[in-house]
Amino acid sequence: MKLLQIVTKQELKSSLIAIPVFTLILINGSGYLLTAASYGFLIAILSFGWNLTALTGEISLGHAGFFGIGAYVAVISGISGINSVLSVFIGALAAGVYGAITSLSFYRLSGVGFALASIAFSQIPKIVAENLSITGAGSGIVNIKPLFIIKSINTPLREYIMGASLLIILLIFTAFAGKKIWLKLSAIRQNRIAAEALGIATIRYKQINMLISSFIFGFVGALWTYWIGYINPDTAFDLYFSTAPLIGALFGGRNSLIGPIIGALILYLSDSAISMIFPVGHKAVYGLAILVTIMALRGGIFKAKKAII
Amino acid sequence: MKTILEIKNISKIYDKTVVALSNVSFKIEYGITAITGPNGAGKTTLFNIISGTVKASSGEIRFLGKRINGYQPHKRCMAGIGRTFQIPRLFDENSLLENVAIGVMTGAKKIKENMNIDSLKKQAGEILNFIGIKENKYEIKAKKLTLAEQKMLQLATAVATKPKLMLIDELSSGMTFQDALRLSDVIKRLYDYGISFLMVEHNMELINKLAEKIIVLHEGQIVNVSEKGDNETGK
Repeated sequence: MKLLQIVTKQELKSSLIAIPVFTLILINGSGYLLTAASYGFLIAILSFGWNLTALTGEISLGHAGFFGIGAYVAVISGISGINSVLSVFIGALAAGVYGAITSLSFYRLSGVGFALASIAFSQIPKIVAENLSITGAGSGIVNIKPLFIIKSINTPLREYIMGASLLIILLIFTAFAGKKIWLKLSAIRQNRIAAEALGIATIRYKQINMLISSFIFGFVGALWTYWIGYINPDTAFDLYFSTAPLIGALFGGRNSLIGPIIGALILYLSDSAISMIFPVGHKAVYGLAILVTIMALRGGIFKAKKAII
Repeated sequence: MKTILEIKNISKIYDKTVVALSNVSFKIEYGITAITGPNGAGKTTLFNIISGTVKASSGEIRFLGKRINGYQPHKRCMAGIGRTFQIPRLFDENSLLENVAIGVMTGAKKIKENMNIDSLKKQAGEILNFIGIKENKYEIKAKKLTLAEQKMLQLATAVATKPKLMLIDELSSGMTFQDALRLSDVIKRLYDYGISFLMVEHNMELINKLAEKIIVLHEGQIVNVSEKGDNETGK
């Protein structure tokens, strides 16, 4: 019920169109289509997670750091004998703790200052990973066993895991986040000083959102590394994991709940489709999305037209 | 009369050279107190220090007997200090009802009342009505209001937090004579409800009409304190 309360009718209609499309892909798809769909889900979860920080008004350019931490900690935990499913949560928790620490360190920063600091905090774990033997240094770790023993590479299990994770995260979030929190976040985002003067603990909300956001990134990073079977600093801390969710959220509408998810899915699938025709330069779709968003779609596809309450 | 706010030797020095406030001390009791003085006297800096937006370089602030120097702005609001800003700070993209509902949430939290969205809306509507904003404007975005209306809306959002003391910063500036009269009436009625006011104001007519005590600031120092019906002045 809560989901219906905070999702606008427009968002709901689009979701109703998107759900059968993706269900069909998952049931009937194979090979490239399935992989594209599951990567789409992965970026969609990240976009949703990134947006939790953006909802407090901060633009992070360094969320790839949390993604990489989740991936590395999960793999190292798994190698040291911890159950692989449990290791995913350990990885997510480590990313969440790092998110909380960075948030505590940079709580006075906002705007450009926060964006620049976020790049710095994404680079610190990368440098650490490049220089430790436990992380395999620059060459990383290879031959990571899949999360579940998947015999065939074409099994759709991993796609279901990504899809189910997206759904579970969405349900958990909506179970706890009501309209009142939405209203407080909109206040913090628009005018932090006014929100504080009205009794809202803005720093606490920023920290909580950052913690959940980094936890989600860590969780997805852990799933991703079990999926691809190897990890190294360049791939785990790839800037793409900071920028793709950001662009997806901006394109979809960062003031809405579903917007970042739909935005990320549209962009990723467009990118994948275009890449079949133009193997080189297809990533231009993200640049185009930024241009379209800035010039014609201020507020994204799901610009909050309707009042919250 | 019981002291509501006590300011003790507050100083604010920017960049170790610019003295905005120098050893400012005063007490205010329940009632309406005005602070006046020329531009640059340090009035808004003082408000920012009381509400926690700016840290004092030295000195002490006591609200209802409690030292609140270490309180963050939201905690000062929870303690009972509401404020408006010289240039209205609103949530522009939100409707009037939503703006006030944000304040109502804090007011409800203070009395440990769990209000649902409908109750928040209802109470926000009642406050807007009390302040004198017409019902047909409740759903429009705050940015679409005139400056005078924005200032009244800001007063409504702060009142919604159930403050004991309101700091109002040049609320009448930019208002027509009629608007200022309406504002004066609203302040009087809020005072009747038990809210004290500390107002930074240039409009002497409004000050004389409302204030029981007038503090004059000049170049960061108090140069005069007078009380209604009292011809004596002193520091």
